[in-house]
Amino acid sequence: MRVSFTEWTKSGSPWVWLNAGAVAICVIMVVGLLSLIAVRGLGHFWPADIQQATYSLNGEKSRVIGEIVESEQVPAEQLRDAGVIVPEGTLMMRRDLMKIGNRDVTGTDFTWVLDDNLSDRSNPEMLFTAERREWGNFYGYLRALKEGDKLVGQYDGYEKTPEYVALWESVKASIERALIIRKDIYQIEKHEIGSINYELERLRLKQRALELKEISDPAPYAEIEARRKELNTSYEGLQQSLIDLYTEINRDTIIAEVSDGQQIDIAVAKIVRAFRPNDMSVGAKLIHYAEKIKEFVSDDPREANTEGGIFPAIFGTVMMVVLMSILVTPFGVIAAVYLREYAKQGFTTRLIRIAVNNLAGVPSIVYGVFGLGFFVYFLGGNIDRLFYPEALPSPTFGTGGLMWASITLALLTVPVVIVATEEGLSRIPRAVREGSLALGATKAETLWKVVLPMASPAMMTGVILAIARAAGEVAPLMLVGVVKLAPSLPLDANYPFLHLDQKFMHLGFHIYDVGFQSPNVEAARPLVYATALLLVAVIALLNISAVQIRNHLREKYKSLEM
Amino acid sequence: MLLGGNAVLIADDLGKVSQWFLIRDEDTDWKFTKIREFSGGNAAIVDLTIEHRRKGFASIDELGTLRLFNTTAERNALTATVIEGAADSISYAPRSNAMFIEKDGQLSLLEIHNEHPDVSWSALWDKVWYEGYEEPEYIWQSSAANNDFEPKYSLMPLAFGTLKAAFYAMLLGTPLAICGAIYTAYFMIPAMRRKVKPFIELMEALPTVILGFLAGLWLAPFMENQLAGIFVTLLFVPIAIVVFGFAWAQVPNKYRFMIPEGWDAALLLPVVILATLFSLSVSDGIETLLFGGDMRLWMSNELDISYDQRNALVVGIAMGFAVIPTIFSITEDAIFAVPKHLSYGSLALGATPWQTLTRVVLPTASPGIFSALMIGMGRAVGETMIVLMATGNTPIMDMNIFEGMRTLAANIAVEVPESEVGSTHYRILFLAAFVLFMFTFVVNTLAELVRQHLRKKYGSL
Repeated sequence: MRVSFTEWTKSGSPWVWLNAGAVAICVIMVVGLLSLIAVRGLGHFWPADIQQATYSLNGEKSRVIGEIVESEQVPAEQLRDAGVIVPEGTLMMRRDLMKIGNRDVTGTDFTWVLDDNLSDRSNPEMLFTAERREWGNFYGYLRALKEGDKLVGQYDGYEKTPEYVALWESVKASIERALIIRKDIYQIEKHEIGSINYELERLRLKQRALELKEISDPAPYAEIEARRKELNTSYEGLQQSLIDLYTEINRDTIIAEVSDGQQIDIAVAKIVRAFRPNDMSVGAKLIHYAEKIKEFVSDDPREANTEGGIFPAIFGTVMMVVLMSILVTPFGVIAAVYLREYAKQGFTTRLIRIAVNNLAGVPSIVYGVFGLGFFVYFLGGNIDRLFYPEALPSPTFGTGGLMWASITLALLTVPVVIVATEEGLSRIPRAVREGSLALGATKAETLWKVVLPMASPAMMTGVILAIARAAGEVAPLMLVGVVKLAPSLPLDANYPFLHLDQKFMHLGFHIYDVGFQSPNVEAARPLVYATALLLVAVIALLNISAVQIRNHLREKYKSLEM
Repeated sequence: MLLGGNAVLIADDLGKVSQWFLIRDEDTDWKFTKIREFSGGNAAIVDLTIEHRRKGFASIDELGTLRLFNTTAERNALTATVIEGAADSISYAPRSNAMFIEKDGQLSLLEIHNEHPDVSWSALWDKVWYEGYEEPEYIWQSSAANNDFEPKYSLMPLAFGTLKAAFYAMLLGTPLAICGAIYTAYFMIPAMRRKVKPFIELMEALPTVILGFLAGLWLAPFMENQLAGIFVTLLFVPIAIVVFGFAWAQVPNKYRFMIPEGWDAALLLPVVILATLFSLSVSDGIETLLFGGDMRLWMSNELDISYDQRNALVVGIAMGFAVIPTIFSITEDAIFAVPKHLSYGSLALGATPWQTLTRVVLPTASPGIFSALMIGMGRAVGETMIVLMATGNTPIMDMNIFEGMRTLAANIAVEVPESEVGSTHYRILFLAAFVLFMFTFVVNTLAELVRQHLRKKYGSL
């Protein structure tokens, strides 16, 4: 059907199309954003191939080894200004960002290379990557393995030969051995010595409390002193075994060749994992991928949060959210039940509803400031003076911590629960309520036995939405207790087990901190994407389940309506 | 000499004290200029003394009247007659909490409670002529390395930055959100609406820290490279949509009816993606053709517009993203709630769907849309993480879309953890939080009242 342009414009169709376009753009933006995070976040764990190539710049040739991370087009003019010799006539050149690792040798992890100037590209099978506890990744060729001063194995070629593979296997065994010893060291340092230190600190506070109360009876002091002696003895024992373990773990070193031919020593104890990505089959890469993901969600961060896992952040977020929901659920539900079931609908309830809606619209940072001023400094300061005078001047509750963060967020999410619960209550048909009352139930019985069970999915929805909101909120937490690196988890084996006064790590803050405050943003970026992906996935899952529950509820009571 | 040794105070016999310091004029010559005058009484001033930690001073005149001043705030904190007749001299205690007055060889000690003299309406909201500056200016600079520094607590640059960020966010977010809501509520078939609406509302739950991180670390560098591409996309995508719409109208009915009515938006998905990719790919050529290869360079040379990597455009896009679902959801509800018989009546009288929409549906839903805009605005003003990560946090006052800003919320997040509890700085940050709170409070209350009014009005229809 032919339509003339004027007729078509007159009918208003262009506007309709533009409106349709707006929807399409919104949808594309959401999908694009999610896939951007997903691709970058998931790609990080895949073992990338290591390239070796000869790079010539202004006539000088050198060997480069590394992973190509990204490429971009740069105007040739800009390169000429920077003193690079560029062939006449080229306007744009491709430039690759290469991760060359070996920060201890070269000073930086990344370098830009011009794609056209790379020649003799290859992916040698014997190139290996070592993830280290400091100085980032290492790329290079294995040369020798030493036990103490004794040379165990040595190889000089670049090709894959049985001797070379045998040397590689012995290095792998040595790394395995070091990792097992490290586990023991971790157990002693973190748990055993950690709990001794914790108890010593508690003894010190106990003694200080006695002194403050001016108790002159020597018996309790002697008791504390005896226990302290005991602890110190076991501390020294542990210290001795630690020294032994450290000599054990520091036994082996490897010698490896880096891109410019230099040979450097790497202590095996410093290696987290070593692998040869160019020689891995897809299956081996998949196993490696799974291992990396497991490490990501279950390990502690390394190297100023730029490597390793994010377990403490996940744990901190979960702890805070759990505490928050324990606080927010009764509050929100009771308020909603009162507003809907008991309060006389009129000016006051209208005012309260406006206030609740207002509370939902207040910027989160304002909650943070309120939490800091009221909870932390006012309430916390007074609690310290009353109950923890022995620890002063170092604050116990008078500084940001898990408890204050949970309460602040509970305050922030209370409107969500109230609104959702109220909506659920209003959806319950009158007939059900009146039926219950007609059968002789009191109002409280009707509420407790009929209305609340029917409204429970709505409450669930409210709590889930509140959790989703709380899990993603960062701004207020920055003021009331989140830190970039917490030395211990808020839940552990030391009495009183749950440490409400402790500072904690949080996924959202981790993203902000690692992405913007870390010393090596470039290296940390993939990890930030992965963290963001995890956070988005959790929050999207929570929201989708909330929507499902709500829809299910609506369907359920539609049939009761008539 | 005032604290810091940059300014001189001169008192006269008529009870006036004036502050002078050196400033540079147009010919870059130093000139000793009178900045401001403090008047108090008409009696001759006998002695002046300065505070040791703040830009404050005290004067005493021959009637024994003591006056405490602060220069930055231009504030007379206290006027009190403390002794009979003229004192010989006065002097401040190091912490400015006490003062000695000497008269006829006798010393008297005054205790002074003057906690925050450096705050006044003019210090917070007016232009202030700070020491060493050529003219009065709005400046936020709360701390420095040295002790004799003059704190500059003007909230104006922060309030300006807040509104600027919110303005650009609304500029980009509003059209998309409202147009999208119109289409979803009025033209889209219910089956698709049920999928699209929760999907866009899912965006609302997206943590802003993620949006901010992407804006700062992905969008900002991308935009720096592809500035021309972004503008070409903004222009070209709407054109492509309209052209596609017209082309679709030309397609024979046989093919056209293969797509059920109301699914047009789905057809646009590939169109928008292709249009965006196309604009980005041709932008290099356009840049070379029009701007000599580098639009940023061209702008700074030809138009004298400076470019920051983290600028208002980045924030606008990222925060637009954050406000779209809020506005979309409420607008969509408002339009969907317009009684169907109104639009059916209009359609029955021969109006086209578009006429019905603009003349009947939108006016009826307008209070709801207004309330959506207000709530979106409230969200944009209070948003912290996006602006914290994507603006560069420089407290400047400049409407330029390619420069950064610092907002009240980001300022609080940056400075509260470092400010000394109970200090003037700390209190001003709380005041900033209060300003934010009041702003969103007013806006939200207004929106809520409009919404309740609307509900009452259409409840009966």
